[in-house]
Formats: sequence, structure tokens, C-alpha cells
Amino acid sequence: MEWIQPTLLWGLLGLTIPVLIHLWNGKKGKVIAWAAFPWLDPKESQSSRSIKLENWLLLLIRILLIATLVFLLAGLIWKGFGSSREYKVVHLIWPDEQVEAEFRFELEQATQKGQEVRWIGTGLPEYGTEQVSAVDFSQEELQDYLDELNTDLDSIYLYTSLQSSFFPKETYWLPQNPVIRVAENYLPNGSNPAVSLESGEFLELDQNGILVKTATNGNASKTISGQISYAFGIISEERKASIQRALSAISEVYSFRFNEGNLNTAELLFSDSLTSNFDGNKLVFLSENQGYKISKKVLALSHLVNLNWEETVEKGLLPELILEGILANLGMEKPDLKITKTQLEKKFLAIPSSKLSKTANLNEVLLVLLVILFAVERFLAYRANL
Amino acid sequence: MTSNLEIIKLNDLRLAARLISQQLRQGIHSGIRVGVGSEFEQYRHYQPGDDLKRIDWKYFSRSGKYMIKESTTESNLNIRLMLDLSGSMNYIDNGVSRLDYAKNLIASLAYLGFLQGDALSYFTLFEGKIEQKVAPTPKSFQRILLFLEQAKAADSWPLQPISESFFQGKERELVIWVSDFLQKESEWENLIKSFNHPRKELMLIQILGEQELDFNLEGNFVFRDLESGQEVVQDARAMQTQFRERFQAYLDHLDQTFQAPNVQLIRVSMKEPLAGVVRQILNRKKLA
Repeated sequence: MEWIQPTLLWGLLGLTIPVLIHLWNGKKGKVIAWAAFPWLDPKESQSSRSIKLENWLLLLIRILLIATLVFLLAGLIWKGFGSSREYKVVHLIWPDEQVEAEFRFELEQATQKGQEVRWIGTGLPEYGTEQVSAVDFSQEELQDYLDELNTDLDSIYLYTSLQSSFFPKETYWLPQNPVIRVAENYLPNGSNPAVSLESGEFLELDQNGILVKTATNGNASKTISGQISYAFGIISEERKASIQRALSAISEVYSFRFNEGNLNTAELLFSDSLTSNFDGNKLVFLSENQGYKISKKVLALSHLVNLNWEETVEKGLLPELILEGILANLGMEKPDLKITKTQLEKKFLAIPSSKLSKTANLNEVLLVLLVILFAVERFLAYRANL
Repeated sequence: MTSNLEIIKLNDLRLAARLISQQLRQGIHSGIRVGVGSEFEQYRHYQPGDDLKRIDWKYFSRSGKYMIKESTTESNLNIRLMLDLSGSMNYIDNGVSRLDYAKNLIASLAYLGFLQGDALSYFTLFEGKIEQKVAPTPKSFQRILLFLEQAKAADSWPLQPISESFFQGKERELVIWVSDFLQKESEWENLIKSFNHPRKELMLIQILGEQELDFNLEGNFVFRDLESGQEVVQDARAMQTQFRERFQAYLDHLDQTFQAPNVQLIRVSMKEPLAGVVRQILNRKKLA
């Protein structure tokens, strides 16, 4: 039993009202020594025992009447009430066939039990009828999908994998804390992109996200042929030198070849600050910036507060920063890392129950009860002539 | 004017009787009623029309004048005072018990009778029996007061049939019966029949409380029967009209029953001043 407005239960103090009235009325009348006794009507006068019994019944009904009214207003939610109300379970599946395949047995069992099995997301086909891959699914709207769940769920099962990219945000709100089932054997889609170099070698990211040179690779998506041209915008000579040193370091290790080219045709542009002649095809590195990443194509080599230019150079981070930008530009990003199950669980928070709008499920019953009680009370009161 | 309550609170019947009779005679110059009596009062001259028997012949022989010997009138009435001592007489209304009211009434009547020199006797009705407590003797007034003071009402009142001989006798007799006459089953008709006598008069003084005459209680009450001790719980307001109707019907029935030449029923509310009641009784009695 739960209450929507438990404070209204103070109304139960109202139960004392009929009791007090009853005590007041039942206060045994003054005893009168009466001479003209035969002219009283012994028939009409109930014997004191029966009058008491009837009054007790009436009292009980009046108490029940008030209690019912209070319960009605306070909104009684009785979980055990109503056979139609079942233990509601929803199984949410990450829309990916690999995940689904791993839990197919469990999901089929759940379907047989009549429990709700669905993909995460709206407008998705029902589970089991269609392949899910056709539907577009945006991870940005995950919270919106989750908000569409009913609030009266008893438990939520979430079938997913531990990829960190699945749930990019820090927290997700759910009506209940979900039980997470992890697809252990999930393999991220597609292999890592690799870059084939002129030397016949390949650059690719290994499982831990480290750029390695390998001799063979089947699926090199990109080939860097020739040289990467770069140019300098308005930049001090000192910085120019540092950048050139960094570039040569990169080419030494990873066999990239850079050459300084025309300002208009260069792929990389190094500049102190963002100039107006910014071409969308260029990858721009700013040596001095205001501390934020302007776009995918405009990257900062220093940070106003955390890491200024001098520090970057001193710590030798410059080649790393430049290479990171180049690789990202080539489509080689860090692989989808796995997080632990606890980390994933921490992302999901249950919406506090007070925020949920509840409806009392006993309202109709209480209302009917109220009407019946009222009718009985009136009947008895009329009979008792009170 | 002293109220009933004050008189009754005195708890002295002799004083009460005197006070009441004083109230009764307020403003009255008691002219001597001259007539035939045993005690000499005065002489007066014979006037034509006077009874010749009344001429004092001894005086005529002495003085040669026709004189008539006069004395104050003496009534030679037998008065029977009867007091009901059934439980219902214990009814108390406005702090005045019906029994006390009746006692004071009887004491006043007895005092008046004593002043007149009437022969007084006193009976009680107790436990259904009529019992003579005081016989008509010269000192009966004092004895009546004594018995009145001791009288206590109790018990029920299944009146045994009054014996035929009780009201027989040739002498003029006034019977004053003070009760509440709240006995439904009593056969009053028999009583009336035995009073079919020209020289006897029965005065029934029915003393009723204010609540009995005009029932206006409100609220829940436990009515306890004074005679049987039975209890009935009733809401007074609910049964108000019904009780009034029933009781009035009973009173009407009593009125009809007691319609006989020598019988009078005087209904008295306990809030009426005692003096007024006594005066009413004296005015209504037919026997001189």
C-alpha cells in the first residue's frame, strides 16, 4: 500500500468526530424518576441494549465513511490489488544484431512469458518481426527513448555491450535501475581503418588505440601518397621552427612526408590565430587560441590556461597533437573502448519515485464503497431517528 | 406571598398550615356567622319569623322580653382526609415533591377543619390498603400532623377493592382524597358507585407535575418508573407529542369517569400556590 498524498492521512484524525458525537449522544440520559410511566411508549423505546447495538453499528459505519473519504483523497495505491496488474518487465535490447543474437534464448523465453521485449528507441519494429539494422537510431536521443518507458515498470532488463560509445553521456534516467546483461562476445563493427604508406607499410591503431606500423593489412581504407603539404599563416619564426621540428619528428617515426607548400593549396595550415582566409579543405592548427576547439577542421595546439605554447613545446607534445589532428582528419579515430560493467551501471539512475506522477488504483473501489457506506449510514440513521 | 417551595422547605406542617390559611383569609373580615351552636354568643330581640323554639323562655320569665340566644355556628362536618402513599407520589417537579405538596395541602385543610371544629379523620393508602391512622377525636388535628410528618410514600398501588362498608354511614361526610390518580388499571367506576349518597361528597384532588401536564423535556432520558423501578430510555423530544396526546386522553377519560353528582375531580398543577388550591376546594365543596 502506498499513498499519493500521505500528509492527507492527517485527515484520519477526523475519525474522532463520529466517536465524539457518539459519546456525546450515548451519554446516558439523565435518570428521571417518572410517575406517569404507563404513558410512555415502551414499544417505541428500544431497550437500552438494542439502542446501543444499533448505535455501535452506526458509529462503525460513520468511522468507515470518514476513513474511506480520507483514503480516497490521500490516494491509496495498493500494489496487490487487481488481478489485471501484473509484474511488469520490459526487456530493452540495444539495436544491434550481435547483442540480440547473444541473448536470443533469454529474449524468446521472455516473449513466451508475455513480457515486453523491445529495441531501445522509438518507431522501431517490434522485436522478432524484422531486422533492426534498417532503422536509424541516434545515440544522441537515447534519453528521449528511455523517457518513453512506462513509469509503472517493476523491472527493466537492458541488453547491451560494454562499448563506451554506446552510452556517451554521463547519466541516463530510468524509472527503475536496470538490470544490465552484457553481451560478452560483442565485436565492434568494422575493423580499424588503416593508412597505407608509400613505403608499402600500413599504419593502424591497435586494440589499445596506439598507432602502429604493420607490414600487412587487408583493408587499408586510405592511402597517403606523395607528401602532405603544409603552409604557415601569420606565425612567429620561433613557433614556425618548433612546428617544423615536430613535423620532421613525425615523418621520422611514421614515415609521413611533409613539404611546405603554397598557402592556398596546402592541406595543413599553421597559424597564430584564425585568419579570414580560411579554406574549408584545410586542417588548421592554431598556436594561440582561446581555449576551445573551434571545429573539426580547426584545432588548437595550445590552451590558454591548461597548456600554453611554451609548455607544449617544452613537454614535447607538439608532434603528438599534430599527428592526432592529422589522423583524425584521415578517419582514424581511437577504437571503441570497453568500459566495465560497474561503470555502465553507474550511468543509469532511477528517477526518484516522488517525481513520478502516480495514480491511485483504488479510487473507483473507494468511491463505490463510499456511496454504499453513505447509503447504509443514512438508512440506519433514519431508522434510529438520529 | 410565600411560594410553595418556601412553604414546603419549612418542613413544619403546622406553620405551613397556618401560613396557608392566613393567605386564604387575607383581607377577609371574618364576620361571625351566627346560628345554632352549643356555645353562647349573644342575645337578640325576637323578630317575627324567628323560630319560636329558639326563644329563651328562662330569660322571658326573668325580664318579660322575647330574646333569642345566639351562638357562633358550628359545622358538624365529618372530614375524611385520604393520602395516597404509592411510589408515584415521590415524583419531584421543580424541586417540589408531590408528596410534600399533598402533605401541606392536607395539613392546611385539616387546620381549617380544626378551626371550624369539624371532625377530622385521616386515612392512608399504602401498599394497596386503606388504613385509618387518625380517628375523629378532638385532638385529631395534632395527630394528623404527626402522621403526616411520618408518612413516606413507597411501592406500587394495586388498590384492593374498597370495601362496601367503608363509605357507609349516615352522617354528613366530606371525603378529600389527595392522590395523583396515575393508576391506569384501577376501577374507579366501582368507587363512584359506592358514593351514591346524598349526604356524602367525594373530592378527588389530583396533583400533577408540570412535566406531566405539559411534557416539554428535551434530550435523552432514562425514565425510571417510581413504582416498579423499570427503566426506559427514550428521546424526550421524539415522544413529546405522543406522550401529551396519550396523557391528555387519560385525563379526559378520568374526567368522564368521575362525573357523578357527589364526586368532584380537582386537577391541580404543582406550581399552583397551595392557598389557591385550598380556596378552590372550599369553593367547590357543596356540603356546608
